[in-house]
Amino acid sequence: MAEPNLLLDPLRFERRVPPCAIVIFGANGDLTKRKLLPALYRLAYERRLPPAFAILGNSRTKMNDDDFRAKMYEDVKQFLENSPFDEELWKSFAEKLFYVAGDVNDPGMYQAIAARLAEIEGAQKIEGNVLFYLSTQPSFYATVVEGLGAAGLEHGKGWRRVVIEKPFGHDLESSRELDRRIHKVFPEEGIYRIDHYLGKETVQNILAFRFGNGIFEPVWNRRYISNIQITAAESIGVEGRGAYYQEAGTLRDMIQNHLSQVMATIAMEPPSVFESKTVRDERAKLLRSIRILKPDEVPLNAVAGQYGPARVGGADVPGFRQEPGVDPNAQTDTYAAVTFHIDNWRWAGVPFYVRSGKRMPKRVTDIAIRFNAAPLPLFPSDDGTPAAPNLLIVRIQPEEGISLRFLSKHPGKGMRLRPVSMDFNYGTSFGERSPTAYETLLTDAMSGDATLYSRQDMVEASWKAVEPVLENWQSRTFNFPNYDAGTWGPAESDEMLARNGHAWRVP
Amino acid sequence: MPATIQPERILRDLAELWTSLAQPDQGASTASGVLRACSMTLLVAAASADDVQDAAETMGELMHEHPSRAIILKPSAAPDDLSARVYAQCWMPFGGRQQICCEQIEITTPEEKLDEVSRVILGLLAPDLPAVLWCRGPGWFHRAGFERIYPLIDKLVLDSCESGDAQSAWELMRRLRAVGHPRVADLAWSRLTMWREMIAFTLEASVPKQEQQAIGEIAVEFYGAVPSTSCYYMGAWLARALPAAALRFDAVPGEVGRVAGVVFKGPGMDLAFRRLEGDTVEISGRQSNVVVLPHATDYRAMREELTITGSDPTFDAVFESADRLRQQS
Repeated sequence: MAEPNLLLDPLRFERRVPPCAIVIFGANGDLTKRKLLPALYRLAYERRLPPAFAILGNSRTKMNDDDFRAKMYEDVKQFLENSPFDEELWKSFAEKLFYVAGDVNDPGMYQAIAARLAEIEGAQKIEGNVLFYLSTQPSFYATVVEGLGAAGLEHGKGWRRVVIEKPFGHDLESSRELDRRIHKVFPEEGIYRIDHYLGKETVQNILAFRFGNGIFEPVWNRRYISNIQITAAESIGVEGRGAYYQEAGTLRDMIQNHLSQVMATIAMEPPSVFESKTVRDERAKLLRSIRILKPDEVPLNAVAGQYGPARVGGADVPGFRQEPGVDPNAQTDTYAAVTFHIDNWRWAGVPFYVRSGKRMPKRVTDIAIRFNAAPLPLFPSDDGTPAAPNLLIVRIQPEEGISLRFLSKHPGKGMRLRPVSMDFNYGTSFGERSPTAYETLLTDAMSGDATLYSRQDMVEASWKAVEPVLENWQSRTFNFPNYDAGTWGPAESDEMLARNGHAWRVP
Repeated sequence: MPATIQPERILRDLAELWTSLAQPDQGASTASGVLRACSMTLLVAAASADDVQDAAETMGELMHEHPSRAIILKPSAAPDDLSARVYAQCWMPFGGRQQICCEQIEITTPEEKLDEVSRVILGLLAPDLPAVLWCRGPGWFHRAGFERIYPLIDKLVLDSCESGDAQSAWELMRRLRAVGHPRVADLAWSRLTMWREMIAFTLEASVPKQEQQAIGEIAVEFYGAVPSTSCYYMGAWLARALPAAALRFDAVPGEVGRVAGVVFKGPGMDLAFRRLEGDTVEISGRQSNVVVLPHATDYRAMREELTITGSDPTFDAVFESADRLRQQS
């Protein structure tokens, strides 16, 4: 084993991002302007980027370096989250922004990128380290990677890594095909499949909460937990993404990737050590333990929904089929709820209810862990209904925190109980701003830490888990719309839980 | 009637303060109310009555990242000058809609009453949360009763360089470390972090491991007549990582009390870090560069210390060696 470097002091030193360049394909797109550039600027603001650093943007739009800088200036100012904008800092940051226009189908474009990287290498001393970030349409992922390979950009003096945004394919087979093509160019350790949910502080905190504390893990199993509900609700509609969303749907867009990763984090076994491989091994193992539904089980365990028009708060809200770019007969699921069963010793018999939808009453993402009721109800409630069971809520957004609901005696005469909540709010204990998911994940990718990135076996396992549902839904014609905008989804979703004697919690 | 202060009274005042902050037409309140934040008790022993303002300003900055119940001890020369007041430090997080507030208690105490005040502090500690004492002046070390506070806290932070009495600070650290409680931190060490980070990363990037191990000479340059404690820390830290190198301390003209430079010499390898002025450092030799380090303020150093609530293995190892170097010199 190599001797430790005693000059390093991880407790006090900032995690170091090595000299490198980031090449962003799709640099004129939404993700770049809303998330990537603001995150990189914020890292610069916190002095976490090395002096030897560069960002090279690419898209089809004809722009020179100055045009790109001017555009990014406006975008970063507009989309920077919870952070001031420093004009002086922008000047030095902008000097590290470069641009190459070109079509990803054009082999000459990759040569132009190679030439530009060589120039940047000379001026910025990036030591040959390059992170390629694919922020293009998913159908171009393989094309770009193959273009990089053909131009010899997959290797160089330093490391070469590629970050791929979800979706990783549109089903199991296409995910495997994409992986096969990418692996022809990059080895697995150079491939970073980004799922920004895993970069959220609260999702990371689930690991700290579960494995850093001694009191929760003993009750974190089928003996004490009745069911787990994961909700990711959006109050907005498709917001101009109608054409994309029509093809994807909620099951693919949210549940196959983000929410299955959240579920894996909640349910995985403790890793032997906290390292990238061991954490990802446990996540993958959990995802492989999800029971694959048989065709006749799908209707009982999965509900598709699509919102229809409604008046919400005095305003007319269009239905999905009325959104621009959407087929008036679209069969797209804007709501999906699935009951997952995890076939392992810890979770056998505990349903994991996962739902996500557009145009819900509010924007909220949380995980509700509902514990079994006390074995003997000593204190019946006033109306004779069973006492509310304990509930642990992990709030991912918008108010990050953790709440525990338990019963307490109502002050006064008699033994009347009512649920009360014990709240932990991030803001009350950590005044500092949390980094955005993209700040965390970009830093990780540049530093070579893949802990929070998906691995192909995880991607395939989650595709396998949702594929029976997808196949079933594709073979059916739904009577959409089946829920009004501004509601918590179709009635069938409530019925799915009611069959097990459960009910959705209202977030 | 002699002045008295009681924890119950102070806690009641705090409760009233929070009630008033929650009123829609009062003070810091907003439509969303205020968020009461607390992750520790931070006791601050001000160096003097005049130091209270500076201490309060630094704590105001620290609260943003380390929200605390702050208790400021203000020394008084008058034997009957014992009093307490409470107030809140509030701020609106950037982009936030709800103000965050932390409570602060200022206790004015004469030296003679420290013993009694320590019992008041015991009643004011935020329950179940760590307690840190930041001692801003060496005068406290000699005050009767100050030691009564040590059992109440988890960590003591002092500054052996800036306190003006490095010897007292050093002896106290040595004594408390021998006892094992509370943990002791020295801001003279925290202020070196930016220098250490720069040196570590420059060596890592420009000097291969084998060449690092072949470094034969390390010179820590200092201003003034004798090296400051931070110079001993720097020397001990480098000697621990590069044990084959001979370590020496060289005096250079300049502002007393700070590390002036660090020079490495090995077979065919020179690498020097020299302070030009203020926080600007010139790197020469194997690599050449000019680096402007962030200014090592009290706020920066304390912010770093408050993030470390457990043990600090690097400092623990370095302290022992730095102690030996001090004694040898």
